[in-house]
Amino acid sequence: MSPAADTAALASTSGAPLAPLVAAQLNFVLSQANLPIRVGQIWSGCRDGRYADRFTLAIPFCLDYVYWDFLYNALSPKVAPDVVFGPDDEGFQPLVDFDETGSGEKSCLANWDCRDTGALLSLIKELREFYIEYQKKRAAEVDDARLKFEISTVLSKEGIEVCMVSSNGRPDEVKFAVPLLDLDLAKLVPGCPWKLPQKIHLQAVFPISRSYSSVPSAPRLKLVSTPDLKSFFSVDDVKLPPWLDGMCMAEYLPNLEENLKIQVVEASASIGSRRRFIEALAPTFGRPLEADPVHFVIPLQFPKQQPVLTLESSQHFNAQGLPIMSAPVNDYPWSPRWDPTEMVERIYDFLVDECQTFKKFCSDSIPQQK
Amino acid sequence: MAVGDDAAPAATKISISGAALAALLQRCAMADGDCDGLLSGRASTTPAPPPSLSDYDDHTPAQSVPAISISISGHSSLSRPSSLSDPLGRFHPSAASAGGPASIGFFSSRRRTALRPSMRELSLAHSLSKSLSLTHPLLFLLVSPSSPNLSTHSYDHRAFLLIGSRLVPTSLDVVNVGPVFRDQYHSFAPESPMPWLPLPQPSSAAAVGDTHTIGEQNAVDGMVEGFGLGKLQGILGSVAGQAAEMDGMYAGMLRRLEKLAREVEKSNLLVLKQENRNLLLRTLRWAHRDSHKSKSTHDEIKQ
Repeated sequence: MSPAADTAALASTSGAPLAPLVAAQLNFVLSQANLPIRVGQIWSGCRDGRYADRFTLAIPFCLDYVYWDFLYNALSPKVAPDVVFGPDDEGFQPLVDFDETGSGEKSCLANWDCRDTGALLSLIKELREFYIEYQKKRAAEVDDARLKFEISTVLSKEGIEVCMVSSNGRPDEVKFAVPLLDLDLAKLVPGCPWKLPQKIHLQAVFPISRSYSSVPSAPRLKLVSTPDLKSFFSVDDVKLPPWLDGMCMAEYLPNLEENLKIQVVEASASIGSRRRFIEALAPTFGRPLEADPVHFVIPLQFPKQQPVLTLESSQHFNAQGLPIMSAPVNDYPWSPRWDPTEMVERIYDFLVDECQTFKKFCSDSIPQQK
Repeated sequence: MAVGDDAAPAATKISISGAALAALLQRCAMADGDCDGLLSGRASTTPAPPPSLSDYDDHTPAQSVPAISISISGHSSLSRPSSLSDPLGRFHPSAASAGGPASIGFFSSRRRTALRPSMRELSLAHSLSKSLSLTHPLLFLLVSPSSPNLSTHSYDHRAFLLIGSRLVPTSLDVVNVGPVFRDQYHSFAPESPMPWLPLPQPSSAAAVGDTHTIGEQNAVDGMVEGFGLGKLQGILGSVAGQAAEMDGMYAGMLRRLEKLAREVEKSNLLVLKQENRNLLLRTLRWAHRDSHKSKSTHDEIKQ
């Protein structure tokens, strides 16, 4: 996001600008955080409402967001902000814990410097860490033998987040967000434009069962990826290995990760082969194309799946004055084992015949319209 | 000490007089931004209500726990925000809070925010409760004033008690004049270091001065040294004399009012009598006219 866009996004509901010292800190959060933090409402807590000084931030947690209100004071912007957490988190008391453990001096609030633009980001990071621990503690207190086992075996995995999910009318559940694949995806994709680190998570939602006799039901499993990753690898196409009765996550994860790793490596290899294919197209098809243009849609699973071709006429137009297009073609001869040049040549050969059919199709469709 | 005491003080009653609440809300509304401060008042343990006589044998004395009654009498606050605590929510006593009347808790006012304790308020509640060494749960009053325009003000407020490690929402009674108000007096114990000074009798004026004990004189010396009890009683006597004169004048005014009221009553009675008479006359006249009318119509029909 450009700085100009940031500033535009920070307009409060009443139109009052954020107090300058506060705006600097919030802008820093939006431009520098390696988490997708979003700003919700911005408003003023002053009587005259000249400067806005409080805002809601959506902070990513456990594949969802928590909404925290940050309260500054426009009249004394040097004072550290206070935070109001969500209505279900009244047990989350980070400052009380500081006092009890005597670790308050380590907090960024102990030496709050209003001119440090990174101060708010440090506070958010600090509170988020505490919140992750708080939710882990809550989940560990749940009286469910299977969950206790899962937590004791998996919770040490780095970056794992757990939370209690309670919804009206449904029994409580515990949600795990397990980061998968310990590799830097940005390195697999040369020249990638991603600003934030990309990650694939396994979301596992365990129902809490209070009875010990019954066989615990399987968790609801789902792969979730960060949004930018979708252009490179679609987690929706991944078939999850089945969850067997009596299984635990520590058993399930290695298998899944291995499976996923192969597919991700394939996907990154596909980028290279797509690029080579595109490069091979130019000598055969010419640049610029003077004949009827051909559109190539190259799937993420290239070269396993062949490109989808669409022909566009440069001489025939439909009633709306738009060039006539062919139906998508993907049933022409193909082998993923051909090298890019052969692929292109085969497509070219196919198109030489297909062009005649398309031309006939175009001239047939014109008299019908008249 | 109530901190960490998990026993549910089910019978904690919190009240604030209308005037004290009005003053507090005024303070919150007039602040340009957020403000906070200490609440003063007193807590008393009212003895368990006498066992009610019941016809049922299974009546269990469940209400034998003594009830705590906390009443807020006022507040003190500084003009700067977050005056009570550091950014970590640790209480730091300031000039305003030291040496004041007994603190029972604190209040916080923040505009247009959720009526839930914030991170810092929760921490302050813990810290303050420790440093005040209260014998009852600490009280926290959260106020959210809003003034959409300058002529209307609305206030949301919610009271909390620090029970265990949490601030639990509690109901707050606003006491105005009325039957509920009497409870305030029942839990009130007059305590004064001043000795009892009976009104000097004009006849025994000379004997005054010797009737006081050394203890009473010491109590007065604690406040003003070298000011004789006799002198104090003299002041009191002259004031009492003035008060008696004022009472006399006031009684005279009341008598005069009484007399006027009687006169008004008498004249009202006369007016009423006259009106009744008029009414009677009017009815008679109408009756008379009607009989004439009916006669003439009879004549027309005949013709």
